[in-house]
Amino acid sequence: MSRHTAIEALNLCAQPASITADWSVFVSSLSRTSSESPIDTFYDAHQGLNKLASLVQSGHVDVELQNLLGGQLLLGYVSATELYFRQMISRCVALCPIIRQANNQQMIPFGALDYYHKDSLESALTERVSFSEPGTIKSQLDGRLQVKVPSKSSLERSIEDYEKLCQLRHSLIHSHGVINSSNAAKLGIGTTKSLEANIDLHCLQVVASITLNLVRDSNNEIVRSIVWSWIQGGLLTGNGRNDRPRLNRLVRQLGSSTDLTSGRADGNLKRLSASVKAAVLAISTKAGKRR
Amino acid sequence: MTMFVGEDQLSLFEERAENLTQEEFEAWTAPTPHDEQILRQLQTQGPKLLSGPRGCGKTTLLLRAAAEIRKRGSALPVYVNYGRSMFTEPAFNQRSDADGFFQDWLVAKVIVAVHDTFEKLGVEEPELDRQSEIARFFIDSAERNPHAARPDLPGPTALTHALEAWAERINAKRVVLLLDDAAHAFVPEQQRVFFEYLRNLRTPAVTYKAAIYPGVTEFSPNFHVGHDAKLVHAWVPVEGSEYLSFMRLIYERRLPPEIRDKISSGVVSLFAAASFGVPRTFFALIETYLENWNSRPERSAQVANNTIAQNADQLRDLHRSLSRKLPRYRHYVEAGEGVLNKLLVLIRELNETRHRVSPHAQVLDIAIRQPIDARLVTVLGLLEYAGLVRSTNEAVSHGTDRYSKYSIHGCLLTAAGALRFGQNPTLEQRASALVKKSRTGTYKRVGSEGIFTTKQAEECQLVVANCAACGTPRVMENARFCSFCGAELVDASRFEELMATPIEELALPKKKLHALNAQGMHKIEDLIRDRGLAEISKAQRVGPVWARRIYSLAEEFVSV
Repeated sequence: MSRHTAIEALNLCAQPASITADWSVFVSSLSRTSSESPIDTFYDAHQGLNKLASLVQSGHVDVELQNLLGGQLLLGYVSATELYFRQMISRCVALCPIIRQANNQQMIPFGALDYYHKDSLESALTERVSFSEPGTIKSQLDGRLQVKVPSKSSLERSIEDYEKLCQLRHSLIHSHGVINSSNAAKLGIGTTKSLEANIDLHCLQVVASITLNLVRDSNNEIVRSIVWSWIQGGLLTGNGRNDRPRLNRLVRQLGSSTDLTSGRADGNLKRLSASVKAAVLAISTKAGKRR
Repeated sequence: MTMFVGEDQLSLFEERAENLTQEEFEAWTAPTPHDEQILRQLQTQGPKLLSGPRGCGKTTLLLRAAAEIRKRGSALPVYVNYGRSMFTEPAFNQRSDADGFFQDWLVAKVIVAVHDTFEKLGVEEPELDRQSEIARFFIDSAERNPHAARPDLPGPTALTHALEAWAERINAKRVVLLLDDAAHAFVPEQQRVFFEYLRNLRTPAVTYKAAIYPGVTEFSPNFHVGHDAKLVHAWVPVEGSEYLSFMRLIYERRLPPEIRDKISSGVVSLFAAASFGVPRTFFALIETYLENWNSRPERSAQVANNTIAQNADQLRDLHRSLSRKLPRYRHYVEAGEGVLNKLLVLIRELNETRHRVSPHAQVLDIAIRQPIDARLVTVLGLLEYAGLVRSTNEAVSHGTDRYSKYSIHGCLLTAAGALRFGQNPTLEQRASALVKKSRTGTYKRVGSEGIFTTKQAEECQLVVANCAACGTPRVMENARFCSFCGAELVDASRFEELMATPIEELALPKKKLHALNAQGMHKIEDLIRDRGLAEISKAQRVGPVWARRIYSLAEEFVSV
């Protein structure tokens, strides 16, 4: 039996109005240049968020809205981190034949074939992955990039910190900051009373540091893993002249030009070749001894 | 100039107790009645924090407590020296699990120390052998490489279980951890980790005694002094007749008659009184005196005065050097210079006035009215860390006002002429004037504003670097990203900066510095990396004792 008309007329709040959304105006062509490395793309987003974070407690935003702004910015940091992993996986699959081979049994949505350019089809590999789910970063690093997270390492700690951050993200995405019991338990904070996210400027600095640490630790570990697999797979031989083009591609595709410029990273090809040569020599000496 | 202290006798002036052999330690050190009281506390069950400036005898007390506990046999004493903690500081800028990395280093040091103790006792424990090998390797790697892999070491709670098991192995009921150089004065992150680690080390069968520095130690938010551990002051008070007797005793124990014969009794008393209860200062004064002495007994008073003035300058230099070691506190250190000068002037003025009425009463202490300006507390803390002043932990009341008392170093009082005497006082009289006759003594009362001007207070701001990209000042002290341009704010590693310091910063004779430079050693790092002393020993006029001393100075420079 359908509801009585008198019941249908009940209004305890105002009525909705008609809206026509032209979703195409909500989006534009992807402006980011593909020549930029994933980590530099992340750095750009991160720095922008850091600037916006200064609005919190700056006096330009009402006190009651500062927490709201803080929460939105937290989501921004998490989102920028997710984008980093998506881009990094796709970039590594494109760059490294060993990783590409390891992913050749992966299924992708059929529509991705039309949506992505054939040169960026790798982007479809992570379409159905949410990097904010606990365990996902570790499993994606392992499954997609064959990077094992060493126990008691900086990377392991960075992932742990990020996954805690994602508990706050969960509350901000799904319940406007109200924290549920399982989120509270996973954060390791009191579970005896209801809590809500309260993100001030200090918290945002911590959030920015956690995401930055995770991206840097991951980037370094991925690069080390790729170089090592190239050495073991014979793609790098220790011959500087032969190795240099491949190493050059690695630096351009996965290195941070920002950090190279500031002197906080070393992309010098001579030194990279020397490290490769030292590793190749050590492996061959060990193999020789075993024989 | 005649050398009165040859290379073979230099080791007599070894300043650090941990560098003495067991025989030297037993023969040269002696506990005072004050020490006996502390030693009792170091052997009891409750956790203790042993506080005192450099050279006041904390290590001696911990080593002596370890020996006493070992003799009694009911507990397993484990002496651990954390003096090289600064070597792990770069990890805090280079890995996100630096707190765990540092805690592993703390745990590894304990495991190695237990293993060393077992070796001395001749006890074999295969599991401990295995763990200590892992721990030793990790300590060595961690102090050289902030990216060193972390081994599978127990956390503090698991460590206490292991300690209990190891104690059982030698039929001991308890374990007493004697943790030396535990202050980590320059790295607040390390202090936080350390005190959390300490909190977890306590069980009914495991306790700790940790040596810390006054003034600069920051406890973690969960660590409460008094509740988690009782504070014990290691510094021998310069008061009563027993003070000079004790200093004379250690003097006689350490130095052979042929050296003692060269120093008059008055000079020894003066140095003992001026050394502010710090045996290391006492022996440093004697050594400098012997170097300056020119075999003319009639000039011994003048040489003694010069020696004290020289030491006062060195003390002030040490305080000034904190600007480099704790650059954030640069303005506080600079203000400290002014505060110290003011304190000396106030004492001198009061002594001059008093002298007309009562020629024998000397004012040695200063009493500052409470509440003391928070910035002045930090300034005094830094002066106390450098050993220039000392909180006596006494509060006195005058009417409704309450005051906290501070003592000033005897070398500073002497060098500044802050004491007032009649004509031609003897050295013994001058020594006696520096020793308080009673616990309370006489003191100068003053408010914060009397020694710390508003201008100085305003200038006491923490120095934090502006954004390197846009020059904007930080919005908060611990900001990691610029609020204006969003760039990362990168703080340099304190350890790396200290390692890059020229060796001229060390209190070494010019000839030794030239010799080291000629050997290609220009930075502190060049000395520190020479752990086997091979390169240092190659320098001209640097024998084994000087080589060890130079290394020790360099290590101390970067350590605490």
